[in-house]
Amino acid sequence: MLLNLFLTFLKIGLFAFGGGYAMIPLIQHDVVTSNNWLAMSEFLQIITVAEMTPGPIAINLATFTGYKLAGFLGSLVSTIGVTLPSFCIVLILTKTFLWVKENPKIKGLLVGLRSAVLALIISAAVSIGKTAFIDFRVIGIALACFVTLLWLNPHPAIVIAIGGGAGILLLLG
Amino acid sequence: MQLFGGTYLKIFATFFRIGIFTFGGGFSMIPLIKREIVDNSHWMNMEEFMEAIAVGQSAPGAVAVNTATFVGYKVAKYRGAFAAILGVSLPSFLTILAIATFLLRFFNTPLLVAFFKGAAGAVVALLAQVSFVIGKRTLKGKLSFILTGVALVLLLWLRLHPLLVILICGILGFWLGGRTKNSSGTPLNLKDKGI
Repeated sequence: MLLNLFLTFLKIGLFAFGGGYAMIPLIQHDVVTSNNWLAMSEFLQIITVAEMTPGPIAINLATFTGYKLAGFLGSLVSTIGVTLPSFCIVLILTKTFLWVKENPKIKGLLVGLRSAVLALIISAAVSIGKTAFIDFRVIGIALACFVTLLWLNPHPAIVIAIGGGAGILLLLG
Repeated sequence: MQLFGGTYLKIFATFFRIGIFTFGGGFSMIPLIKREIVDNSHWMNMEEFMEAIAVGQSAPGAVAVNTATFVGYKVAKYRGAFAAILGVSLPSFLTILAIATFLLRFFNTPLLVAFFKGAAGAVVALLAQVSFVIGKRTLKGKLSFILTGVALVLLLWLRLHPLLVILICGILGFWLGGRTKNSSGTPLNLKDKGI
């Protein structure tokens, strides 16, 4: 399990162009959809906590998922796995970035990667929406949060906390 | 600057602070990193800092970890990069570990179940908004529209593996990128962030 976790998060770290949000659909696919390691509702709890705690979302997601699946050692190998590709690739880029940046083929490659990530995040919103929208009240909370985000652009952690608070008020009991 | 353990410790401490005080990760970290690295420590000038952010966003993985690695390396080579990564990751790691150890058992109480159900709605709203923000930055030029469309069809309709979709779009972009002009999306408009 530990080796599996390490390799899974190594792979996720290697392909998550665009940071933490790009990781959500990748983790979802490996951990929830294909391996059934976690239920979708458990994964949603992890995302919620990752958004509300300090630090990079990617590290929060990896640590929590690792802990849920294999305790302390699981969280350790997942976090190392997810940071290792960053470390290696950035060290290579420190020497080559200025040359790489101006190359039209590489520019095209980056456009391709960013486009894929955009599509991935949209698909994560769709698939998580399918699980989360079990109740019209949750849909109402989501709409209110979305309008607030576009209008006032508050901090993500605040929006999540307000959504959770609304959940307690509307859904408890 | 002294080249003993003091430099590494300072890099570690600086990124530890950055790790503690940034919620929501990624882009929200940029102003704080700028204040610590450019204004307080003078480790980089603004131009080098912009390069650090550009590398941080172009490389795969967490933007904060990438930027930390880049800055750490520029200041004190490999050990500097290691100290920066350790600093920026440790607060997250310890916080999540504490929550998982002490609070996980309460996750199934009615109160927290209701909280998580409501928060899930907020998460969907947040992902939709992030799609908007990233879409505005990414969708510039024909190539990005075509590739995003292709990726959506592959993901939602053909249900291909996400990594396969990333690879296909990367290869298509690399192949087509040399042929079309003005097709590159800008990584980040720093003016939008008030920097």
